[in-house]
Amino acid sequence: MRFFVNAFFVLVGLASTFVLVHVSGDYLATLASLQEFRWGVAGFAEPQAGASEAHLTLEVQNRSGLDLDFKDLEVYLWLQDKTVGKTYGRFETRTVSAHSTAHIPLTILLDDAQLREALAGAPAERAWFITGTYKASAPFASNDFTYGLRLDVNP
Amino acid sequence: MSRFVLVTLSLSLALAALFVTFTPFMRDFTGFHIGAEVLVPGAFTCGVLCGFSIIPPRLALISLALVLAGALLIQSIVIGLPALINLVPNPVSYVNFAEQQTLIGCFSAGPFFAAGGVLGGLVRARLRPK
Repeated sequence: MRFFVNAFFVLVGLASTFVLVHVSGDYLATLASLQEFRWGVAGFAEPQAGASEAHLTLEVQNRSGLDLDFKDLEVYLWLQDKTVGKTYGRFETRTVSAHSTAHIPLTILLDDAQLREALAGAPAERAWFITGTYKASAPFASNDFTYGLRLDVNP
Repeated sequence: MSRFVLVTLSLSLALAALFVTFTPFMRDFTGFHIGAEVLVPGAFTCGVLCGFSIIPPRLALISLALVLAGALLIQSIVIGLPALINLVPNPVSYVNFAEQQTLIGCFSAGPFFAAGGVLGGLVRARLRPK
């Protein structure tokens, strides 16, 4: 009887340890994955005055061991200190597999008046950059995590 | 004495597993989670097992306190792990989360665990030959 009671408690301890190790593993893997991606610019054509759209290709590297979903990416294009266009929420959720790189083409709708004004006031060496926000989620997460984005996109 | 150590250690781990899987904050990071409908009977059962398995009652009370303290300690270590291994840029937040969630665990499951312990001890005392 004593043996069975002891065995029962040993089993309870082992099962609990298994759960704790599993949960800790998921927790750390998810946290690490949500920090192990990098954004870059794969292509950008500088818009000229009068253009209605600008095309920008972003590159996202997922260095983590989990597939990550990126959603609600909203990007603003800036020239110097003026916003000249934005994507107007036309981004569809994109899954980037573990240890892979994805290219995300974006079309930025330009505000012609703002663009002309910014081009007129910009120095010879123009500083184009984007700002924006997006959400990322990992497989176990029931919530999305919101991130900010700022990248220089000089052609 | 070996029974005391075994039961205390085993039930600390079991209660810690219940606390960690119940922690609302952890739901964003793992597929394992339970609701209050599992936590409450689980904590109560842990208490009953603790109170019933250890004699004399004075030792059972010490074990109950140690199990609760051990489980809360394990829970706070698990939640604070990212801060302990420098995985996150904001370690203080995780230490704060660990403190908050430990308090939540203590107040949400502690009374049921204690009630189970008292019931287990009483049943054991009844069954004990006079």
